[in-house]
Amino acid sequence: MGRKRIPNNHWAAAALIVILALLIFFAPSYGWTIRAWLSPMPGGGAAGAGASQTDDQNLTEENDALKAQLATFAVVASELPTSTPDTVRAMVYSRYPMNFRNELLVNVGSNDGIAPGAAVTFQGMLLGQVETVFSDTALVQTIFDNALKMPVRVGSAGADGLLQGGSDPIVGSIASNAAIEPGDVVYSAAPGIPYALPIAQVVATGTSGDSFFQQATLNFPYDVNNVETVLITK
Amino acid sequence: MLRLRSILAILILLLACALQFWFASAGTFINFILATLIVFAFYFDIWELLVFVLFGVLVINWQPVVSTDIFIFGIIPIAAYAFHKVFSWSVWAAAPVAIVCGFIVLYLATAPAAFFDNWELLLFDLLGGLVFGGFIFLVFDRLKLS
Repeated sequence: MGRKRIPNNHWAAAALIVILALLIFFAPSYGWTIRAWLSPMPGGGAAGAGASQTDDQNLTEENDALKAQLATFAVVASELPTSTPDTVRAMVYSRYPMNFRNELLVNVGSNDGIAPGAAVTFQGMLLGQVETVFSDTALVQTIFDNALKMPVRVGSAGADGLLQGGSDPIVGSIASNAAIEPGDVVYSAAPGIPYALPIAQVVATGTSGDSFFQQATLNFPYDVNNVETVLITK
Repeated sequence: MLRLRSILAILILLLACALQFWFASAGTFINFILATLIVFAFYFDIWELLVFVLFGVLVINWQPVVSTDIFIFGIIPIAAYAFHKVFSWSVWAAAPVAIVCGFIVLYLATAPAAFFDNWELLLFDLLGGLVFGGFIFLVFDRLKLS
């Protein structure tokens, strides 16, 4: 009785499975490269040319696309913060790709002196906290992560509150008699993070669902999806 | 026909990846990749499915280790394959059910607290996944690639 022959495509699939598994576990940066190739450029993509357009129109569009790319690089360059002895500048490698959580992977890790719990800032404002550190990368939990809760203070009177992360972060658990108003700055007051780092600005105040506390909705002067560089405290 | 189906699947998976990251750059998260892999579970054998799943995991993994989230993401299409083999429902009925169940399981496992407070986000994600899954059915069905 003859042995059943394994189809050739199964051998090919098995080889691909092994290669992909090796990439996943030992060279995940290839996945980030593929992701970057498939993602739009930050701030907008280049214009495409239709098959029916003339050469002049193609050149014009290509010129506009190159100008857009230069503008994007200029934006990134302007975001590059000046490092200090107590901070490390980092680039964002990738982001959490699904709902309800908001994490960034940055290109610095324990080899660069980064420790878990370090504050991460963007343009001088607290963006999040280092959650996990690897040798050359680190995972940052941003304030737009649903799981984040952080003590903060609001306004010049320093009313205590609790920042609740999410796609629309709010500050809750503010005493009902605290004097807060739109325009007040929310700043950090959590252990392990530099005190008084600005986080956001109050845009509206209201009462919590149980009517015991005030809560504030916030405004952020940046879009976390376009953050490309950050500063991390050592 | 086998080669055409595989080439088409690769193109669809790349499209799903591009769509997911394009929407994500705008702050909208729809699991096109997961929906695609779940639908593939009804059209491919386990070997081919594993290749597609591992590619999806490689592209979507945002950190240098395989976290619980990514493990669950990869297991869901395999579970859909097992479901298809065991129950043998019609693809048109089984795949949407698998997509809905897969999305709910993913978010219950990765963000259970946020799941109940942000059900509208889940609904939008599900809708996008079902629409894209339906698109894949139509393509495979029209080309009679089942």
